[in-house]
Amino acid sequence: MAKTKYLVGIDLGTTNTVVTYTPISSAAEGAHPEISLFPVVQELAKGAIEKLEVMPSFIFERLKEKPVLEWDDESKFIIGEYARERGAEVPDRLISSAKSWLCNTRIDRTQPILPWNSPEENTRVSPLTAMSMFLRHVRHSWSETFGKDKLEDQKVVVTIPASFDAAARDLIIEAARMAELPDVTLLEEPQAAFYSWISQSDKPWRQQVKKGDVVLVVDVGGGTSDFSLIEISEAEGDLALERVAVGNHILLGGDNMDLTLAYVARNKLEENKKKITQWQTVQLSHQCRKAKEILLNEGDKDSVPVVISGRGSSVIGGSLKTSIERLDIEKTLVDGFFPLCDMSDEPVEDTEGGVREISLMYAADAAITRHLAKFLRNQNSGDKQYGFPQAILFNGGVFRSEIFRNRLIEVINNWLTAAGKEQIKILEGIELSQAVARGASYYGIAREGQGIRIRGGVSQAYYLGIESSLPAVPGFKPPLKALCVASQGTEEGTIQDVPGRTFGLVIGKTAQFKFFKSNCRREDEFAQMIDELDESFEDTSSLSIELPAYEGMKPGDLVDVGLQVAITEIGTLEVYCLAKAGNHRWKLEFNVRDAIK
Amino acid sequence: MKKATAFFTLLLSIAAAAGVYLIYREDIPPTLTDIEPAITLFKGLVAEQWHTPIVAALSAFWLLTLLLSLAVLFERNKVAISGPEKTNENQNELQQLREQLAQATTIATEASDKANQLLTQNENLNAQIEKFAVSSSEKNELVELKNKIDELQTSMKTRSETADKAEVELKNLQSEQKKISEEFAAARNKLEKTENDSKMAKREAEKTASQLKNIQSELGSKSEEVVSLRQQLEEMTHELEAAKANARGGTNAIPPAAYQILYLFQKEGRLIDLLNEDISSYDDETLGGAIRPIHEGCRKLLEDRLILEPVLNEEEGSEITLDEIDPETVKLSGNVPATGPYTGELIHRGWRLKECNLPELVGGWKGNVIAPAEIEIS
Repeated sequence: MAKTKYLVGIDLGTTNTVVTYTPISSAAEGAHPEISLFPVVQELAKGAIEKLEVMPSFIFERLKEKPVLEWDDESKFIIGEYARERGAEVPDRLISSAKSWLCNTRIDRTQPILPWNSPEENTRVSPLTAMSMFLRHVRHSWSETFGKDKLEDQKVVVTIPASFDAAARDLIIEAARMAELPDVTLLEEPQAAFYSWISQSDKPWRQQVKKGDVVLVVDVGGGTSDFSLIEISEAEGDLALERVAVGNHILLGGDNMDLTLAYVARNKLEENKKKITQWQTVQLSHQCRKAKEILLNEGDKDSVPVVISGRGSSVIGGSLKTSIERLDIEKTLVDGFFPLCDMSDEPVEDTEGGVREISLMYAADAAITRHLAKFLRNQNSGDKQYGFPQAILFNGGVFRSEIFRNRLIEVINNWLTAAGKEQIKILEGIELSQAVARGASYYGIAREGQGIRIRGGVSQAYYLGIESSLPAVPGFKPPLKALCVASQGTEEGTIQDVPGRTFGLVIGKTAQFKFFKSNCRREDEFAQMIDELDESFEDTSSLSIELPAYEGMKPGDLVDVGLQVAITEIGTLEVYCLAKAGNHRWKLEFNVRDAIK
Repeated sequence: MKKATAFFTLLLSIAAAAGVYLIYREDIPPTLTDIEPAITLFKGLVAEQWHTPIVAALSAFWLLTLLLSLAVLFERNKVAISGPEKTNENQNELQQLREQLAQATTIATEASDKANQLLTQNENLNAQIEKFAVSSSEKNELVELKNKIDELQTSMKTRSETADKAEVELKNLQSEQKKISEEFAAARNKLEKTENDSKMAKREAEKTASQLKNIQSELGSKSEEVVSLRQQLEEMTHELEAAKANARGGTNAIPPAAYQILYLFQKEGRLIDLLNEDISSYDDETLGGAIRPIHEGCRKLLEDRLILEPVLNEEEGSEITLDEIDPETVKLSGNVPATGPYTGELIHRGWRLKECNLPELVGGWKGNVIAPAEIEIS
């Protein structure tokens, strides 16, 4: 195998993919390592190519556009910048937000279903394949630039939302394998942002936080919001970091804001009896984002005109004009996405009708503050009060605007004051839209033993559903108990046998295990049995296994097995069946194919 | 050969007669007593009563043999002996002619091969010229073009050299063919003079003549081909001249960057639409508002891709002094002294293109469309 030269971080974002790298030789603690952005080659219109620092995570099935990059996927699909551009014009052929589909438990993530609801004659690919296409594109582009130092020979870290469950993590590993990147390590995005802060911050990070502090990482990206809590503790006389909690996957982000503003502008135009087409709404969205940035960054303006040019060659005659006011931003964006609320407030659930079409589970409530309130409240159970953080780290393009940062700080401080706690401290100094990718490279350094590492372990606790043995009663399902097989925070590289539990499995038959997760039951211990499943448990992909016949056993025989749970070094969870007699071990597979009913 | 056989046979028959005489002479001379037992054996072998018929038969055979040998020995037949000898001579001559013919045919085949080669080369050249013409209108990269022209010119030179060579060879062939026909004529004369001109020889000669005729006509067509090749070469030279003229700045010489810049200004800023629109009917307010996105888009293009910087950084309107100027960079006007230093008011700071970050065109610019027609299907 070729020599490993670089640590590579890939931020596989919902809307944008960013790649960074650093030579392994530059990995040394203390110094700010030189982490460079890797511009990814992408196709543009008119047969041109260009290396761009950001690769939009979009795939477009070619209509008649001739391929210009000579890579496998490229003959049929466009990936990146031009895909996004063409996709706005022909939405039926565009695959977007593939990553969010990857953690949707209501669909089979290995089946070709994207673009969702596209016409029959269009090619569809699975969310898994789509992710592998992005990674393969990055691999091709890397190999073109670095020649013999192929990407598959480098140490690659891929970031994922902290809220990804074990099955979704497995799928990312599978996607990487499909893209011929067999050895990748996973890293949660908020952790990556924190690593980025460690490596980029002007003041040494140890002077900015102290033992016992809890840091809230708020990551609002283009399409998703993610929360994590990192505790500063002490180990061997030095500060240590531990990720103690992660939030749920919330499909809500900066793109929603631009869209909201576009609808505001559209309503204003339609009040003047002007008809707006879909294309013009896209243009409006671009213009509104620019107007938003002007209003947010230049304090002296109260109104910015928004003009969309005529579509035909009469560019002036067909133009439409309106304006975005400072009030629009404050009312719709700040109050809409970051409303003032109490810590006890619940996000508004979607109550419309019982039947809901399967699609991406967009957040019903746009209020990020209410989602945050629920997350923090859930961390206050037990003896540790993680729900009142001492410091906050912002990440994601949305927080480039001071107005959003200030509002969020205001809201959190209100909660802290009401609880009699100190005001929150703001950790600054990261480049908000590249932090995750930079942090991923830094994590590579940390894994080399050259930097501080956040101890995280399993982000959520996992449980096996076990039916209670009770006399059969017609029409009554025996209540389900939950056996904790991985407690929250179990460290990577841990292998544990579940004691005292034996399951009889029939050879040749598929055995199904119900599987649950929880991100707010920090107290549960490994192998603990929980008698009652309350709303803190969430369904996740079930586990299944079909025992092959072995050593004189034949189909139909009953085998006694115990369970073993492994948290791998690369950040995935694996469950095994161990035969009580003999030295046999089988892996249970996540059932991503059967959607949860 | 025949005479020798006849003579030998004669000797044998005389010897046989002598032998028989010896056997049947009752007493054997003392010098021959050694063979007496053999004779006795011979006599005992055959019964007495058969001796006379056998001797009679043998005598008859002997006489026949003797007569025949004598007849052969003294026979004289002029026609039978001299005829075949002369035919042999003629056939040898024909054989030589055939060999010469075969040589001539090989040469002719070689000539036609060469002509074919020339034809293919010519076709290649044509294809190259065509490709060249297409690429010159599409790519218009002067340097590449010039290189190509040089390449083409050298290949043209070699082509015409080959053509000349072929012509010389053809001439050689023609003279050789003349020689062959002369020799053939002489051979025919000789043949005609021969008394026993066999029909076979005649036919052969006719065949040879027709073959020679074929070669002659083939040679004729080859020389025609050479003429047409020459013409084609001339045509190609014309085309090359035209392509060269194009490269120097003809009507089709548009660099791809020109297309790309127009395309980008239209795509990012709709500049082409704006400049082509009749703006006289719009009031200033409409015009002003509509210009905003256009100005913004075009400006972004200048910021990102066509990065400009002022030639001089001093304030416009201020007085500046320059010791020496480069007329490409600074333009002087008004009362300009013959030599520096030059002092005056900076009217315009000038612009220079600092960076040009156009996207890489993988296959050059195809066609001449800078903004495609758009159709929306609902």
